[in-house]
Amino acid sequence: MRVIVAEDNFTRDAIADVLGGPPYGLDVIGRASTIADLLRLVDADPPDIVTLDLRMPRVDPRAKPELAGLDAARQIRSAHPGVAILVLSQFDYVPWVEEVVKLGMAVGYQLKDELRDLGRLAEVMRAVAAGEIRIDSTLVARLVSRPRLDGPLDRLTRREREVLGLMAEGLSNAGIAARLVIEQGSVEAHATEIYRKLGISHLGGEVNARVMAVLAFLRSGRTPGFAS
Amino acid sequence: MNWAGMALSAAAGLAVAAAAIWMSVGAVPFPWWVVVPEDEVGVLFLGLGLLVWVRRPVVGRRMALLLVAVAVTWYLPYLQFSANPVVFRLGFWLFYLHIAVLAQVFFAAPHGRLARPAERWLVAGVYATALVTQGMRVLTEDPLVAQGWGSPSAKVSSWAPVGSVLALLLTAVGLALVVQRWRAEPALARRVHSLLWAGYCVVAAVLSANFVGAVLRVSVFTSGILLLCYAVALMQLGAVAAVVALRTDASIQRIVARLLAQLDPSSATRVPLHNALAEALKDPSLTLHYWSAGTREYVDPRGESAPAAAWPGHAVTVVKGPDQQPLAAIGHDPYLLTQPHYRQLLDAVVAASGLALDNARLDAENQAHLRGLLEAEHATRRSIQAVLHDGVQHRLTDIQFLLGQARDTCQDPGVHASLTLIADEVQATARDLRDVVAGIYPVNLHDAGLAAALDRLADLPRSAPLELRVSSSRWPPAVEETAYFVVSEAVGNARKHANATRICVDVETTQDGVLVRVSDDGVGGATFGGRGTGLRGLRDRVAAGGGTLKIAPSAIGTIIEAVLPCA
Repeated sequence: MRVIVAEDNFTRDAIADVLGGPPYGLDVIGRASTIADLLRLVDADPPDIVTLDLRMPRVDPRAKPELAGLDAARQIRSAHPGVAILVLSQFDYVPWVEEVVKLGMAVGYQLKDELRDLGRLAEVMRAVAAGEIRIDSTLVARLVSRPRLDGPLDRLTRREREVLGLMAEGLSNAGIAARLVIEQGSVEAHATEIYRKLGISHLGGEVNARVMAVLAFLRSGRTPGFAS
Repeated sequence: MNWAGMALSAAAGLAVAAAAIWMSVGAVPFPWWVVVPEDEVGVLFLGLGLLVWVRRPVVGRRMALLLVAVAVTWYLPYLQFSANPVVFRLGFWLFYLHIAVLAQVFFAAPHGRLARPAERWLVAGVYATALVTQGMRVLTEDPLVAQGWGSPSAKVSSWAPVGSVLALLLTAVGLALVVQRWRAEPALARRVHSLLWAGYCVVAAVLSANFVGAVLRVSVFTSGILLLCYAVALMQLGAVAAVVALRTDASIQRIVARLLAQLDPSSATRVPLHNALAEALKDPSLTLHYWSAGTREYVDPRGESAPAAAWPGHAVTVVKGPDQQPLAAIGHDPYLLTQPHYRQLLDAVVAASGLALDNARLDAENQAHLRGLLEAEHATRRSIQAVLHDGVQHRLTDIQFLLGQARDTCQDPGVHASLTLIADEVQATARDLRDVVAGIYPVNLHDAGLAAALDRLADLPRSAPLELRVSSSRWPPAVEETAYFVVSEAVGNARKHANATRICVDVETTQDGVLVRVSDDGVGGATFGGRGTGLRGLRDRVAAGGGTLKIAPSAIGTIIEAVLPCA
């Protein structure tokens, strides 16, 4: 798996060095410390996946960092639709997560806490590069435990809540079955039950449509059609 | 002039009219429907003059005298009906004098003074024409036949058509002056004068027809019709002149008294300074700017810089304080400076509003300082947020990374367990810090908007549910920042003190700006004077942006409402 790592600080080389060596063995083909560097590297030799920070200097590495990561992600997605994008961020803002999911499949949004377990990060990168969606579990857990007026999640069983959380993290039914060590058929049954109980409707087969619907529900307690 | 004097004038005027009409009975060649209206023109002007005199005894006096002069001169031609040859000749000579007085009334309205040289010359020309041509006729024509607007059979000298043609010319010049004035005058003056201009055009047309008729020696019947039109047009012009005089010349004392009452801070009917001044000076386009001694520039009432170059089309009157420092600049219709009456009014209004202007100036200056402080505070929050993110948070990430590496390569189970404990603590620290940083400044406010920035406030576990009904509109950055901090503080208060089971946040655009409402169903009883400085600080924060914050009355819980102006 060929990777470009974009960070404007120590983390960049740390990730690149460790992921490039055993036991992960990723092929780190580029390191960028500015948005301009990143775009140039991706244009010159599109990798399988880029990891990027939301806040980086645009052109001059010594300049003040700016919130330009989302713009860069959109540019990469439109110029190189085959490049997977994983955002590594300190910001736990769900609206930004939704912006990333809007880019389509093969995207991820992870908080930098994940760096304490590089094995997991490598696994997330493989999944995203393979076309899946991965949202930070801490963020999703917080959304699931968000206080709600009529407690719609109270209607779910414990197992259904687990499944809902994994759906929001972006896992497919097969992925959820593997994670929970249950049959894929029962995941599908749980999912149908969740949709019914929460009134989440009109879900296409696309995983990112499902992630968006679930995130929107968790954010507002309403299905996207009703959100103002 | 007292009431007795006025009554005496009225009686004398009526006596003149009665005598004149009595003398004319049976001696004029026109039918009754011409004679009756013609006889009443003088009486009407007398009445109008006295009316203006009574209603505006000081500022309307000149105008009143002029109107009475029209009344008296109107009856001078009636002297022709006297058997005494001297009186007869006097009546003949002064036949057209009333037209000159009428011209003076017209161009001197509404104050009774002729302000412009061209108009002074014109009025003088009318007087000269009326007196000289008629005088020459008295001297040259023999026999001298009584004239009632050009009896076609009378033998006249060449001075008669000369007089008519000169009168036509002067009427045309007057019309040109009217057009010129109408084009040059600003809106305020036009409003005052528009009735007069219309009246002049009517009289000029009728008068011209009469002069043409006199030159062409039209029949008695036709000249009777023309005379009737003339009488009606004159009555109309007199009424208009009186209305204009009455409408515009409210006494300065009364205006100033009203202004002072409106500016009285203890009055329930207090009017904003700008509106009170605009009303007193009858200029809705009036602008008001205050001198900020700190920044040495003019500012608007909200304290925003407003250079003098931005007030086009206005004459500027600078109001100075006791130490000759400017207090404020009043931008107003330049017409106010061209009229002596308005000049006096302006001086009086400025003198009367000095204290209020000084107070308003201090308010504007304070407003500017407060807004500066607020902007500085927001900027500080942004920079602290950036420093923490780009520095401390990054370092914590690095530490988490290094700890993870150390743990992965560590063989000793005891050390491995310790490293896991440390890593968990560091992660907890990183999360706490993330909450702190997010609380200092909502970093996504600028690009994602208020609704998205407030979303994170709903994530606090084990607290009252937060229902956000936030318009997705965008507002100026400073307004969004203030709205964010109002909501986050008020929600924090509700969570800490109110013991609420639900908290609602509504943010919407209204006529007055952005309305921010945070309501809960908790114990209520929030006051500005209670423990802590939360609500008071919030009120100051909102006031610094020119808005208001109040605790709205509510049967249950607490409702905090803030209105943030966007202009």
